Amino acid sequence: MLARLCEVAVRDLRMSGAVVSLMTPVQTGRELSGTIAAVSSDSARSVEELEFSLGEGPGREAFLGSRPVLTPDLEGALGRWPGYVPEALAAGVRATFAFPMLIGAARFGVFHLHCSRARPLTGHDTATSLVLTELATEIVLDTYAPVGEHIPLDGPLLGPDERRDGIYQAQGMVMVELGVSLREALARMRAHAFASDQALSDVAADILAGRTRLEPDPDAAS
Amino acid sequence: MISPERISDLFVEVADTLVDEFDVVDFLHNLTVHAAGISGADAAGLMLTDQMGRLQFMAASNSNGETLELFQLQNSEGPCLDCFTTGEPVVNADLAHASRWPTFAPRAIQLGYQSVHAFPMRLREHIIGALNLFGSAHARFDTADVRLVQALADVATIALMQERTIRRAEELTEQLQGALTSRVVIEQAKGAVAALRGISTDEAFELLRSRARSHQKRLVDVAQAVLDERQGPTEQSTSPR
Repeated sequence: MLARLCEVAVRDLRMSGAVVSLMTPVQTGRELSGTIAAVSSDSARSVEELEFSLGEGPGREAFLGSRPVLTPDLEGALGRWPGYVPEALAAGVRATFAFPMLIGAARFGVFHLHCSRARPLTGHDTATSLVLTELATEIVLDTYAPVGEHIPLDGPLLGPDERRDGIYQAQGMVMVELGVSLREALARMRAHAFASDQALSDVAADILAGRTRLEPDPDAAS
Repeated sequence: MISPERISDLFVEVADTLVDEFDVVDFLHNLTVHAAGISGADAAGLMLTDQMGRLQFMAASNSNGETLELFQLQNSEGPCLDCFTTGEPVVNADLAHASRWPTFAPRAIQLGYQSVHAFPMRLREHIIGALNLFGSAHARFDTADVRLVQALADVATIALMQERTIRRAEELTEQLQGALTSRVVIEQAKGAVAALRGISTDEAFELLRSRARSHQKRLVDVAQAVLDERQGPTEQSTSPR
């Protein structure tokens, strides 16, 4: 049903992509984990994954701030998300509109719309987006309607996510290999991805396969 | 008959409860007392569905009201149940000629009641319960009265559903957070154990699982322990804050 909602959003709002992204804070600070629950297309998924790979982006901000983040032209947002903007533009996304999925104080994630051309969201489109966001939130809630029922780790919304799983596994490996914290390990992986112009998931795959081994940083305090 | 003067006072009171700290038990009791008061009924009772969709007794304005609600549930028969099933009000039902309630009607008459009314607690297709009123004289509700009591029930229904939604949302967030965090911790531990032992992540997973089994612990707790050992427990934890 969430996938259908994404398709409706793309069609009715003339977007290039729509994503329902579930998120939760995992550590102190701004690190988020989660999973993509539904997408309108694979390319929309790739764009959304950028935020997780880079640790920055409008979707994350919408979740962390519990308020919509509307960016009618990404080209003006380079200072805000120096890692995310060039990658998103390269992927053909010129504008994004991110709406947090909330009920009261409870935050589930973000309903994120991507557009291939720069445009502001009209009042009418904003209202439609808010309604769709609320629908998405209710669908998530209804999927686990009975109170007290345990969410299985591989339930309908939390299906296998190989890319992310691989990143977390590599994170654990790097933590051991370098003798650093998990947070530091992820930071080192991201730095390596940036320096070698690779996707984070590719770096992770290389680490897991033993093709890449990150070097201890001689400048870092131990 | 319902006195119009009390209506606005009553609705203001109900609205107040929506804003302040919401005590469901209090709210429901007050609802039955008010419903009886404004309608001139001598007793009122309320049933709501539980999480499994079964009707449960929730509140009454006095002990007779409670008795009659429980009696309906025990015998699976009565105006409250009919109202809940059909989603339609039961109005001005004369207990002396209530062949549809062969067990319930005599009991209610025994307690001194002659008429009964039931109003659905309903929001569109969601029926969450029913409100029962019992009168000792032949209290006849006219159309305006029915609308007023139904409006009262409707306001209460909205408040209750909102409260339920918020509660469900909060519980869901906690569970979702737990499930997502658990996934992360388990994957990280797989990588850590793989690096520690020089084995594959699949083999690492098997190690973690067998340790969880033999120590009778949850997999996520075993995984968290592995991570804590390597980097200390301050960085990341699945334990409740």
